Amino acid sequence: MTAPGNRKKRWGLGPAFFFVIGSTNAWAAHAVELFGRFESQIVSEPEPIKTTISDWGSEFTGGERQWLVNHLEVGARYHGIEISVQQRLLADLRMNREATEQWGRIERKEPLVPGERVPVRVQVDGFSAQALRLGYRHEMASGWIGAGVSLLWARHVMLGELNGELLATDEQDFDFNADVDYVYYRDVLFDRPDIQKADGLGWAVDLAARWQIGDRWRFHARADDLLAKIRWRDAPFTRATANTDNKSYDDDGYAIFDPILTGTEGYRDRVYQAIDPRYRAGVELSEGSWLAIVRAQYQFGYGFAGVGGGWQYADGSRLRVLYWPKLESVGVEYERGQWRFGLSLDSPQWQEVQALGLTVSRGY
Amino acid sequence: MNMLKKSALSIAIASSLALVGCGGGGSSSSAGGGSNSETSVVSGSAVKGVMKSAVVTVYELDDSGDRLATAVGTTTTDNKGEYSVELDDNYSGGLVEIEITVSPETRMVCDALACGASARGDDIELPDNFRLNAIGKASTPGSTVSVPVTAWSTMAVKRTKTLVGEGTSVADAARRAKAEVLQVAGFDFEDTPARGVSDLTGATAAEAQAAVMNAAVANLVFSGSEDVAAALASFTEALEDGSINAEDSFTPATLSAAVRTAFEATEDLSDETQQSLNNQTAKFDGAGDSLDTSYDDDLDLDEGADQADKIAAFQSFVTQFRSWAGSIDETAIALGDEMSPVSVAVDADIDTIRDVFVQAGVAGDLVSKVLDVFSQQLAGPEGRAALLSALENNATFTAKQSWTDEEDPTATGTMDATLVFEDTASGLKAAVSGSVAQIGGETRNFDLVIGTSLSQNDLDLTYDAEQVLSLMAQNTVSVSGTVGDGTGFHRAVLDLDATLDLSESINGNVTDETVLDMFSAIALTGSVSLANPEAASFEGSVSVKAVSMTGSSFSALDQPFSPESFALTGDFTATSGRTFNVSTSMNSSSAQRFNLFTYLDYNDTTAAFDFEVDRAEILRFVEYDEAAEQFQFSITSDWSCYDSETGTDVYGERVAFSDWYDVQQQSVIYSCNVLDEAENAALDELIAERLVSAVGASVATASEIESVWVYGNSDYTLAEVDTDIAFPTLETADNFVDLSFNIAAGVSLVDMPRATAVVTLTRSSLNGASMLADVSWDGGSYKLQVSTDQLNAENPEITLAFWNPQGFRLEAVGSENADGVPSLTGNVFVNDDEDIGNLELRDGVPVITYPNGNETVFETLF
Repeated sequence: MTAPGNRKKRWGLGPAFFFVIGSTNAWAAHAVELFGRFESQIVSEPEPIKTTISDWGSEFTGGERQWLVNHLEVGARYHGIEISVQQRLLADLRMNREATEQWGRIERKEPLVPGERVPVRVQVDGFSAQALRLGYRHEMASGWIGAGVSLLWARHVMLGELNGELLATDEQDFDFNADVDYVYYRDVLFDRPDIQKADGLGWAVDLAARWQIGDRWRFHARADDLLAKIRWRDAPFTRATANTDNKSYDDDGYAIFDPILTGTEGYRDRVYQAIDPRYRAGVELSEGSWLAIVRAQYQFGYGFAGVGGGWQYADGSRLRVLYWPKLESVGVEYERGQWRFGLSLDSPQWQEVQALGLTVSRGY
Repeated sequence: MNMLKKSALSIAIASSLALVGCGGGGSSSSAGGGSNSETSVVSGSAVKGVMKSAVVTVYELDDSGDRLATAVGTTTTDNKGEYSVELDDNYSGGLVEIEITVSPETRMVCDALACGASARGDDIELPDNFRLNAIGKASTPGSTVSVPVTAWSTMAVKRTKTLVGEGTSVADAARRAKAEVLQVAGFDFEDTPARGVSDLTGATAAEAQAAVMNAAVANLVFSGSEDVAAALASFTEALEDGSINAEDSFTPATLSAAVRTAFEATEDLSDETQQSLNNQTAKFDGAGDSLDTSYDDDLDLDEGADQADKIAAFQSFVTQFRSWAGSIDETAIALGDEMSPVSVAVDADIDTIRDVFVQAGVAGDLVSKVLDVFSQQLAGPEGRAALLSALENNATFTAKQSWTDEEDPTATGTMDATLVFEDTASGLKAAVSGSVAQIGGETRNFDLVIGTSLSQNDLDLTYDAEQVLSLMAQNTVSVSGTVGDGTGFHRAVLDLDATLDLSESINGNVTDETVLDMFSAIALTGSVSLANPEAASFEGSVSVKAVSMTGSSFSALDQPFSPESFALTGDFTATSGRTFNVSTSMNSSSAQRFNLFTYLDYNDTTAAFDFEVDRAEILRFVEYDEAAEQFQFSITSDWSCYDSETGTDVYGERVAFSDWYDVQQQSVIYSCNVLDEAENAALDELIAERLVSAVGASVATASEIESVWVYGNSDYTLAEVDTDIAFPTLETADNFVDLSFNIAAGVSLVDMPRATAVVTLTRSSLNGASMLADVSWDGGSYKLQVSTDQLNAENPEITLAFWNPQGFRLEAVGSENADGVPSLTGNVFVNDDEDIGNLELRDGVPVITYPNGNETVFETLF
């Protein structure tokens, strides 16, 4: 946490987004269309988001994924040509389900099954970046189709994997052996001090389209981060092994996870990070004022779909409610003119929320 | 994963020291003045004592460790035993062997207590076959190699050649030999300049330790009837098989005694030196019959080792440390479980020790009652006359038939004992035999001989019995014999000598006062065997020494004797038949000015302080009839006085009570009064004055009077004042418990490798203390040192070091700030002083980092 006296007073893209987007009238006179979006999606299958932030792993019960995607963009469109700036944050953590479940048992100090071997596979992939995007949107009578290329100046790399095994040697004891190899902006595993963060330069391609098919059907699709890759230079890395050869136990005799770590750390001249593409699509059917909606998303090797309904008001604004079965979350979305606001949660209690989505956009 | 949130680990440490990375020689440096840039120079000093004008010959060794035919340099030592040899053109860069031999001009400074007829510090001649050797590392042109030549280096040479004979390369053998000899010598004999023990001005702690260890060798070599050269050869051959054992010319015990003798004869040794020597002697004491050395081939670093090799070797060393530390942790956990095999075994050992000494205490109590009876018979002129008569007539003293304990009148018993004196050529002897029993308790029979060096002529008729006893105090008194339990089983077998040291001889009439005035120290040494019928037993030696006080600031509280040293070494046998050895010793450097008993009794605690004072000093606080001839009075703290006028009890901080016989009324009158503020202050002042004279102003001022009880009566002019005083901390920067405590034990715990541990605790200043542990465990030998100069600070900075004899060493300094946040910094070394990495704290976890090119190798310590 930043100490109060050390907070940096920077406006960043967030306030700029609302300032620029909010000043549309002046721009409209010049046939320049301003657009922007803020999207945030946080999903944590193994445990609530709040727990992950405060005490990662302590409530793992299952699941395989945790991810965070933040995308803030503001730009202008003139005769279909788009130019925008982006602030991006992506974090993707994947682990095998057995490991998640076993880890949760260990964290909660529950009895283990003696002799049980559980492979542990953890992958992490993340970065933050600022980007400049150039694109083109071709407007048609029934919709539009667009494409863009982004140039990313990236920081905060986190990329690598941990592979190992948990062996329960007793109901209260286990052996753990693993190999770790990752690059990072902060050594979250071994707390390496005095790290010089790496700079990355990357690129990404995106495609998007929207069709209005007749009066009743509306379809949209979007693919972000196609062919996306970041090249990092002088990236801090650690390659290490962990084992529990030297164990300690708590007062109840339960083994404490406190592995011995041995490895090598340094800087890698070049590291290439491939960004997982993100695909989204949706179709909407109007029946009078009623709406029926189906949407789908695929990213991080994980796809899920949502269904819902909505109501179109006389002024053209639309209110939608969606349910995402796989995430067990419910979302509410309101669209008016070029503005769209959305919020989805899987629980009304913040302490229990494992899937959170937030969208504010204009001209998208 | 959860490595993200490792809990803060305790700061710990380890380290290692070690071995010469090269062929075995001492330090090397670029050539200084006196040698040209192309010439290799070997220099050093030759010390057994200091070898003056000794012949120095340098040979190059071939790969088999054999000398090449032609010497590559020769010279003679100077008057300080130092030499410097420029190697000639025949030298081709290999290992060298330096040999010190004797010429007619050679003299050696005696550093033993005595070298035949010569005293310590005298120059003595040596036999022609006297030799010292050392192996020095390969020397490059223009460099100087320092090679001290001592008995220890000679021992290493012989061990090296034995290993070479077994197929080891000479370089590997030299490294191994160094590590093994280091475990016996306790100091780095290759890199520590050798100095004579007679002149340690400006010497470092290591140099002083080396000098004492060299002097110890001299004590061994000159102690026997064997030729000095032969004795030295026998000494240096002892480690040829890697072990000091019964096959050698000395044992760990005799080496310990030799070191202790040299240690005690050397003044002004630093605390660090004393601690190292105490630890080393305790290690010898705890070794029993065999002192085995160890060498770990996995940690062997040859001359070609690169940084990666050194890192890998150090990581192996750290792994050993973790295993070692983990076993301590496991042991601690096991000891916490009363049902664990470890706990059971340790409890059994403790029970054995307790059982043996409780039984010894019972025997001692009972036998001492008999000796007390005979002492009473010998007291006074009548006793002395009876003694003389007994000597002339071979008469026997007979003890009375019954006894009653002075402190516990309910404890009574019988005795049936006789005392017979005999005037022998070696002195008067008293034979005490018989039995003693407590009613309802134990019975002991005994057969003891108390020997003295007094002759019958010493019992001159002008002396009274007390003077005789005083005279005896100037003589060595021995106690030997057995104590049994009436069944034929020997509970104790004693062979003890007591000596009394006087600061100077007593001329003229000897009285007990003169003896006490001249008293310097009393010591008891000898062997003891203790056993009980259930088979628990102890067999070993004991040594106790107490000294007189010469400058205590709280002398009134002091016991007459202050314990200076204590040592107990021996083997215990448990009822199960399991045997273990324990060696423990304590040495106080401040015994003559700081009494340990006084400290334990009074430091920072409430204790009684009683004295007598003129009755009149107290009566001023007491209301009574001053005309009364018979009266008594008392003053009590926190009491009440009944006020007959108001009919109520009046409570007070102090209340005076009195009663006296009123002649006119012919009755006893009772009175009481509560002391007012001024009277309380006056009584406090009276007590404080006594306290100042007893313990000094600084202690008295910091003390508090907690309670007072005073009593007096008309029969005595003095009143008794009993107080409870809350004494402060008695220690000051100049006056504190300055002692070293050693314990050595061999430990064999269930499911764990056998460990031998020698722990030395040293308090060297008011705020300074250190612990040095020497541990042999699972085939390895390690030392751990923990020290601080901020003992009484809330968050003291602690220095830790862990090392082994092969040159691996880890050093660290740790502390916590006021918020409890720990800090830790340190370094890791190989080859004794080659820094290859750092120790730091990461998220509360100690991590070692090793720079290696563009990368850094790291590992968590725990």
